[in-house]
Amino acid sequence: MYSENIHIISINNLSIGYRNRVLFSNLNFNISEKDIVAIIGLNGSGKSTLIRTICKLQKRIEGEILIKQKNINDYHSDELSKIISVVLAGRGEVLQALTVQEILQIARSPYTGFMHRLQNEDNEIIEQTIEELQLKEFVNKKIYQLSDGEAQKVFIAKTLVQQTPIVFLDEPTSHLDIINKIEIFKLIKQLAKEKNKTIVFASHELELSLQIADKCLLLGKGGEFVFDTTSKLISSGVFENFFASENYMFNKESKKFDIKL
Amino acid sequence: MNNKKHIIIFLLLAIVAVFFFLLDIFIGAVNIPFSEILSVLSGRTDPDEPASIIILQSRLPKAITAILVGASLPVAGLLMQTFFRNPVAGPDILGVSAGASLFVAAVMLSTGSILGISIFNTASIIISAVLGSAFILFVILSVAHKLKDTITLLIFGIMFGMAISAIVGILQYYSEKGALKLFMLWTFGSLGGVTWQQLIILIPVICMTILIIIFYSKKLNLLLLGEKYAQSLGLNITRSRYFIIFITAILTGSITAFCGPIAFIGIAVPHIARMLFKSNDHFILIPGCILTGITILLMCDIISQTPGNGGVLPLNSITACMGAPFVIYVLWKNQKMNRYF
Repeated sequence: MYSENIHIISINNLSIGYRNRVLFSNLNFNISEKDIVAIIGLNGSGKSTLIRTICKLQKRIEGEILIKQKNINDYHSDELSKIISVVLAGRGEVLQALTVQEILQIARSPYTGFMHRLQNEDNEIIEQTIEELQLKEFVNKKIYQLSDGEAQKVFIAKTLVQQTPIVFLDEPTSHLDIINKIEIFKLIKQLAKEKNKTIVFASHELELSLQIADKCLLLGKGGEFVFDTTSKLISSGVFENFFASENYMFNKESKKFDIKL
Repeated sequence: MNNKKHIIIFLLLAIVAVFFFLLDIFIGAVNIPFSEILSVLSGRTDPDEPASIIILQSRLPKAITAILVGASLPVAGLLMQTFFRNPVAGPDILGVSAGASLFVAAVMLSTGSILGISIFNTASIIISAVLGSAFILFVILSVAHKLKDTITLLIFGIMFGMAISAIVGILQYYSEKGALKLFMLWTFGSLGGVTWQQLIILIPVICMTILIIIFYSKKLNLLLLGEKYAQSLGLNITRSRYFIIFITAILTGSITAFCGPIAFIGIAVPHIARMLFKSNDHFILIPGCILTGITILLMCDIISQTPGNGGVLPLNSITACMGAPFVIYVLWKNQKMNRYF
C-alpha cells in the first residue's frame, strides 16, 4: 500500500462527460509525485475530457478530485494555476499573431501583480526556459510561423514558466513526425526526472508512451478503463485484451504491436 | 524592449491630437482668429462675447465629444476583438450599435425627444442604449462559440443589424414626423448635438469606464491564449465574460445614445493601433487605441466641415470612407485570418 500523503492527485468515483452523455463513471486512481502517467485510448475515447476535468477547465458530473490532498473545489483559481499547468491539443485557441516571448511573459501571470510588471526573477525564469528548450532562435517569431513541433515545445515552455509541480499534456505529439515525437517524449521524461514534475499526458501513441510512462490509464470505448503501473499492465496481458483484433497482436517482449500475417 | 519606441509613438500621437483639437476648434462657419480662440479658452475673453459663445457653446463641446467618441469606440472594438477572438468584431459590425439604436429609437420615437436637456432624460437615453448594447452582446455571446469562423460571425452580425434596422423602420412608420426627423438626423452620426449638460454625465462615465478597463489589461492579455489557457492561468472566465460585456456595452451604448451609430471607428482603429505599436499587449493597445481614435475622430470632424459656409458633411460618410477601405485591406492582407486570430 502507498501511504496517503505521497499521492499528488487522487481521483475518487469520478464521472466525466457532458450533461447528456456520460463518458466514464466511477474512475478511481491515484498518481504519486514525479510519476509519468500516460492516458491511452483511441480518438474520441474521452482523454481530452478527462484532462480538462482534472484541470478544472470543465465541470465534472460526479465524484471527487484531490490535488495535494485538497479538494479541487476548495482551490481558488489563482492558487490552482501555480500547481497545475496544461498543454492543450494542437495550438489551442492561442492568438497566432503572438510571439513566443509574449506567450512566455503571459504565462508568468500567476506570479505577477495586476499590472503584470515582470520582476528580474520572472525574466530570469523565462530566459532560463528559453535556454533549456533551445527556443532562442524562435523568441521573436509569431506562433503561426512555427512548425507544429516547434509550437509544441513553446507550449511546454509555457508550463515550465508557469512553474507548476503538475503538468498535463493533451496529445502532445499529434501531427508530429516521428523525429519530433521522439524528441517530445524524451523531453517529458527529462522534465519528470530533472525538474521533479508529475506529468500526465494523453496519447494514442501506445508504443512510445509505454517506453516513458510509469503508469498507464487505458480508456476503452464503452466506458471501461484500467489503471496500473506500466510493467504490471504489460505482464498481465491487458493490452492483448484491450486492443484485441484479428489484424494485430501485442508483443510483450518488444512492447510493440505486430501485424498478424 | 520596444518601450522607447512605444513612448515615442505615444508622444507623436498626442502632439498630433492636440494640434487637431485646436484646428477643430479653429475651423467653422464663423472666422475667429487663433489668438482670440486662445484667449477664450484661457478665460480672458468675456463669456458674453459672440466669439466666446460660439467656441464655448458649440465648438468646444463638439471637440470634446469627438475626443470621447474617439476614445470609447476603439476600446469597445478592441475588447470585442479580443473577447470574440475575431478580427472583424466591432460595435457597429456585430450589431451592438444597432441594438443601442433599437432601444434608443423605442424611447425616442415614443417620447419624441432626444435633445431634451433634463438630466433624467439624458440618463434614460444612456441606460436604454447601454441595455440595448448589452442585449445584443449577450445574443452574440450565446452563438459565438458555435461561430468560430470569422466570416460566419461577420455575416451573423450583419444580418442581425439588418433585422434591427427593419424593426426600427417599422417603429419609424408609426411615429410622428418631428420625432422621425430627429431620429433620422441621429442615425447620420453627429458630434454636434451633445450639450454641456449631457457632457457632464458623459465625461465621468467614459473616463471611469476606460480607467477601469486599463487596469483589467492583464486579464485581457490572458484571453489572447484562448479561454481554456486563460482559465488555467487563473482567470475566472464567467466573471470576466460579464465584466467585458458590461464595459463594452457602457462604452458603445453611451456614445451611440448621443452621437448616433458611428461607423467603422470601432473596428478599424484597433487594427491601426496594432500596426503602429506592433504589439498585442493590452497595456499598450488600450492607450494606443485611445490616442489613435481621438486623433482620427478629430480629423474626421475637421474633414466633415470642409464644405464651409456652415455646411457639414455627415460624420458617418467620412468615418466609413476612411474605415471601410482599411477593414478591406486588413481582410485582404490576412486572408488566412483564422490562423492569425
